[in-house]
Amino acid sequence: MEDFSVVSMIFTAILTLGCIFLVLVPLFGWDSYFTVKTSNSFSPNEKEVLMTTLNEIEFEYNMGKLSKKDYMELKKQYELQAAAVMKNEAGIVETSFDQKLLDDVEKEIQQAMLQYKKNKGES
Amino acid sequence: MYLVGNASIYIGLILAIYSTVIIMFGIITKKQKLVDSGKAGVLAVFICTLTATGVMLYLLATSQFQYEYVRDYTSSELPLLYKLSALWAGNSGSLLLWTFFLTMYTVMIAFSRKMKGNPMVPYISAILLTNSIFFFFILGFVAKPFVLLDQIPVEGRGLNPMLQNPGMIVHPVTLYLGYVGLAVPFAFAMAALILKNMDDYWIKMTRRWTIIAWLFLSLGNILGGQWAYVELGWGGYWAWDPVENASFMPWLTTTAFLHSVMIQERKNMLKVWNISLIVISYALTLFGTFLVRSGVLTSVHAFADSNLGMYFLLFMGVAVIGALYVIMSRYNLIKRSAGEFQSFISKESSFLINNLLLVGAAFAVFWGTIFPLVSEAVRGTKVTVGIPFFNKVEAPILLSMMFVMAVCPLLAWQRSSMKNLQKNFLLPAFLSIAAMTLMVMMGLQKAWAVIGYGVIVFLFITHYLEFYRGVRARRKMTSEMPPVALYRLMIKNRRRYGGYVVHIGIAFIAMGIIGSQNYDIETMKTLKLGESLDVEDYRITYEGLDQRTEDINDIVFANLTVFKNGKRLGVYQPEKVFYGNWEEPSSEVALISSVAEDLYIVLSTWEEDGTATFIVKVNPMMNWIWLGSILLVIGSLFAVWNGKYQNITPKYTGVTKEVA
Repeated sequence: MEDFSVVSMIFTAILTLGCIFLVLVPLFGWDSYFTVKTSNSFSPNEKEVLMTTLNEIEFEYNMGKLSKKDYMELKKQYELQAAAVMKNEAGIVETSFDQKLLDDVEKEIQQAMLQYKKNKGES
Repeated sequence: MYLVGNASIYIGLILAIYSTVIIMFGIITKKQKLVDSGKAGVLAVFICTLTATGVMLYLLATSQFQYEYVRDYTSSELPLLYKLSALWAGNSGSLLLWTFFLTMYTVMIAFSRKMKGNPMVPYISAILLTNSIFFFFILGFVAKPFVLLDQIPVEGRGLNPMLQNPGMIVHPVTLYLGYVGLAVPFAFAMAALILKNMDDYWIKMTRRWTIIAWLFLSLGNILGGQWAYVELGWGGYWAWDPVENASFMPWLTTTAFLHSVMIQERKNMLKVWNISLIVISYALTLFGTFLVRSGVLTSVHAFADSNLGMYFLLFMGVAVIGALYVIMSRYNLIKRSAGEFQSFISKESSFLINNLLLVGAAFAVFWGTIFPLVSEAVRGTKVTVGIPFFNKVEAPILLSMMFVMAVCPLLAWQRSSMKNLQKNFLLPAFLSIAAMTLMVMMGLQKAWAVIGYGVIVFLFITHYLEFYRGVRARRKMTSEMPPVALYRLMIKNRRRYGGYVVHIGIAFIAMGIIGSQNYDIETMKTLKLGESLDVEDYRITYEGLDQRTEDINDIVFANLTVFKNGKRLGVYQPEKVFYGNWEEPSSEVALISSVAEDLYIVLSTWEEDGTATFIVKVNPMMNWIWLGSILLVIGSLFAVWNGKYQNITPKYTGVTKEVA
């Protein structure tokens, strides 16, 4: 008992033609709606990642989860990494760290951290 | 409508095949136009399922009994809402709904603003479209939703009365959304592997989808339990039925994934493990559907009237083998891990233990569920595994998991010193031991219950301290007012604090489960008119039996006056409903609910002389389960709300080695 009414035939025709039209549009370039340009995936800036890591370490230390010794060790480790990244960014080529440079970089990291926290609404 | 309904399914099938092929061809030949045509096909496929679902809803709402499905699952006197909910009462309708959700998710990803221009999109679309092809094939050739009868029946067979409950309107939909939702992270993972893009980008993009799928799975399980409690009249909410297990297993493995994924994000570890968990979770959704639709196991869920299950088993086999092939072909890429465990006392170690427990729990459920099949295959007899097995095996595993959940907030990433752990551990441990002692002094004698509640108290304290210390640390850095600091702390770390709220919700659920499983009281008594029954603090007086008619249903009900500690609570009416279009009657329980306990009364049988038999249960702490469920939903929503894909996760690179 099939009911092939005129209305259902019209509906089916609209559905079929509509779908065919949809898939043909990009092939013939009639419309650019479905045409997209590929872009690179999101890749966070290494410096920002290190800042976030340093922030989390500091936070966990303040929460009493890290001992002072572990905190200082970890902080140092990631600050050195941040320093290397920042140096690369600045185009400085150095083979070893001297204390003065390290102090300068430390200051720069502190400033970057302050900026980072400001952006995160933490100050 | 017959033409439109069927055409939309077959056109959908053709388009799904076309889109998959054209996308793959476009990828191989690097022709964007072809991929774009496939993407447009994704939209066209969705329009087809939308049309088919719309047609089915129209047929159900207007009681078009010439259609087999409408005749089988509705009747003209059914309220409109239940007529519409019949869409998921039968095999073909529920699979149509499943296909609708699947194609909807595919469109959401293919045309996502955040994913625009991402090279993973064609791969993800093709993988999800392959799933759609399977479902369209089933709808087109195996479980056809639009089948016309030779003769138009005067009336439909009606909807199973058990399904005529508000919980049943939402429960299947949430479960399907959860099941289908797990196809999304699976597709993301496979796409990332195929593209050899094994950084944690796919995880960042997919974590929101995974949490949403997990939330729907949780809701599906909870609402199913709530429905069973109020509708089935046996006084329980979870019976380790194969179908309940089918949705609980992917819930466990997805919970494991949601935790282990954080280790990958932060330490670039456990890539193989995470991919495996996603594949297992996805495969378990198909396995669950196989259990529901095949009828190989005895279950309260009556879908088992076809050979559909075998198709799902086959599809699951193909999907798992395909996934394994992709994993093995990329194994060298994913086995490379930058990070390593530096300390046993660290957050990542606790996550790993939690993962092992969750996967262990899932395996135990899996084994108990398939054991009847295994025993039949090996020994020729089907040995059913009952509730005691599951309770015995699962209770200690899940209790250990609660303990790990409680300890986890005390630990830092990468390393926590024993000294710090001891310092943080001491107060919660002391308070929970004190609470356990108090419980014993108050008369709680069951060891498991006391240990369970002790662990939960421990969990509450560690979570409270996590919030408290978080606010304090933030204030140290920002000098904000405490409420402001708490608010900002939470909204800037949505996933972490949303997760903690979920933990607290789970703790409430666990309290309810322990209370209701260990301290429930059940009695069955036949009463004459005017007689009373005393249960705990309650006195139930049987006032009389009566009958009324509602539409085509006859309802027999008892009038019971309930007193608690001498105070009259009111008159309550447990009912037995005899349906005009359904053979089996059902029980409508009388439920008096409070924070402390539920009084649950079932009218069991009666005699002509007016005596009636009642089953009365006192279920402690049932509302804690529902309250915990609400917290679980709030926590999950909080975690995903307004979440930015580009939130940066800290990364730990491990110890820097200057020599090795």
